[in-house]
Amino acid sequence: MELIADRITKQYKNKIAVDRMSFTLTKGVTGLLGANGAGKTTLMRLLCGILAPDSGSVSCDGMSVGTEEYRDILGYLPQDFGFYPEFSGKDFLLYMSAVKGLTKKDAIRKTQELIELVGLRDSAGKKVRTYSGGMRQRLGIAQALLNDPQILIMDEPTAGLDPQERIRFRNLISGLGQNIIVLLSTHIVSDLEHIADRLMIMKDGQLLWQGNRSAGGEDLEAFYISKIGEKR
Amino acid sequence: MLRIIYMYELKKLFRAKVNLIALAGAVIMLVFLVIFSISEVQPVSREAAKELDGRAIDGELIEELKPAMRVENGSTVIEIRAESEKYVPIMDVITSVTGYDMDLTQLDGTEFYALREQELNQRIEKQRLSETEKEFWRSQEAQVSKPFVYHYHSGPANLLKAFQVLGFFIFLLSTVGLSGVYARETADNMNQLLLCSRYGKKELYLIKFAAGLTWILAAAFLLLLAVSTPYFFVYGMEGMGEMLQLVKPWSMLPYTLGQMLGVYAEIYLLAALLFAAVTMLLSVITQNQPAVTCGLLGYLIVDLFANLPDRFGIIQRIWLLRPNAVLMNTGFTNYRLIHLAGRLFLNFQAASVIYAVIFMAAFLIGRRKYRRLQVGN
Repeated sequence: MELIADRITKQYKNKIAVDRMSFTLTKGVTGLLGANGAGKTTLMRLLCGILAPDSGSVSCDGMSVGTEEYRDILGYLPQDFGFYPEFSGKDFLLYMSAVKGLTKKDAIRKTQELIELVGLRDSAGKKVRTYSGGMRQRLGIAQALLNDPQILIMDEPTAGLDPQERIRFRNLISGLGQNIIVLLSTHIVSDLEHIADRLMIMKDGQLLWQGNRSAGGEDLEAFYISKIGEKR
Repeated sequence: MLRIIYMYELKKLFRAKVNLIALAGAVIMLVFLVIFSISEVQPVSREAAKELDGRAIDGELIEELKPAMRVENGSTVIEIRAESEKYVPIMDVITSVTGYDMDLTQLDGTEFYALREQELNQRIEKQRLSETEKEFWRSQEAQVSKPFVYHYHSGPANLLKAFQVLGFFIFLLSTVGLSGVYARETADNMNQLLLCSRYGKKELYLIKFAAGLTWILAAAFLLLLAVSTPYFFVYGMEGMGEMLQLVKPWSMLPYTLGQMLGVYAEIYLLAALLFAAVTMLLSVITQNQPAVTCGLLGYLIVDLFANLPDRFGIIQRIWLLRPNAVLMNTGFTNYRLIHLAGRLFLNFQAASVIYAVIFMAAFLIGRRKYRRLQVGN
């Protein structure tokens, strides 16, 4: 399975958020690095089909991002999103399962499984408005995994997680990356050190560098800073 | 699965505190209004008002009530004494045609109906009706039996008046409850998740729309129940089969009060669906709940206070087709008919067709808009 972005461009008024980016994502974890405002979130939205590019295209094995089939294999965790305050965590996951097209039986099974996985068993019945930031983030991670996605796109997934949760999350992603395409954006380089197979570095809407994680050497942070400092 | 999404969409609407508070507030206010209208100090008792049930309002009856009349400064007043109490409801019907500013002691049965006919003709001329329209109304008026026959009718008469308040409240509930159906997902950043989910586009639009309609219909039935239950409890079905002219003397429709209430109930429910569809369309287009709410409340103010005079012709006809105008009984005094597809329609008949068309248009435009919805653009 290959996710292909072909010269995609997105411009907001006077700012080019994504500038003619082309790349191919395959199975494994790809880390997307870039400073705040580099265009990571816009790129991810383009890949999820919730934002249309001004030019260029995104497709996966011939499926366009606008199709129901594509959405069926996609899992997305946005950087920040709200919840329905009147829903419990379990309700929220069941609702998202239904919107993602799971059968009732699968929705119940998967919801239960993910509640356990993200460590929300004790608070699954509580209203989401009572959750801490970390709990909400874990709930967000759970919803992204509901439909067993083949393409998992996560925007700053570790934001709000405590160190222990962060380690648990890294392990989870490492496992998932064996079988599916994972794109994970962050501006915290250490998040990617142990789990990324490939790296993409963005600056001012442009793809500055892409390659294997091993090319970054032992000190990924130094590698990232050196790349960011280079002129194209 | 779609049923589960629908259930959760209903949960969002029916568990939202603001919606529940608005609905409960509307029901409580309506119940109070109805109770006040029932318990309002009546000049006559129910027994007295029923004493003349079945009597024709003709010269003989008018002569009977004259001893209770007194003329003061050119106006007629009725002295309510025990023996004349039964004549008060008859006097109400008569004065709704003649007004009080004339000497009614000189009135006879023929003159009463002649006065009504004269006034109807004047109104028809003032509204510059076409010959076809005049012919239509003549044929309708010919079916209205005269002399009018009096029957006790307080229940349906009050219920008929209540529809204008119902129209106002259902508009408010539509605005409060449905302005955020689509817009709130954007405000809460939930569209990012929904729009990239399998059923997040085509199906979710339909389900949200259906849930919105369920909410407004539930609210509409609840309000209708809040208003009609006390009336039915006190008055029963009494007066439902009586002629509309006992309450609306300027109507030329040969309808009973019950039939007219049926028409109003239908218009009220259609109006509720129309309000819901338009509110949800605005919610999709603007993706901004406060903007939708402010816009609709602004419209409501214009709706309540803007009256277009007869000289505005076609614009006035269109303006009078808005739901609150129809429910405010404007159709009884406006005789202009609506020409649609080569046929003539009464304003409430045309309104039903037009509401259905606007409803469908709002649904389709909203669907198109929702499919093109993007995040963060």
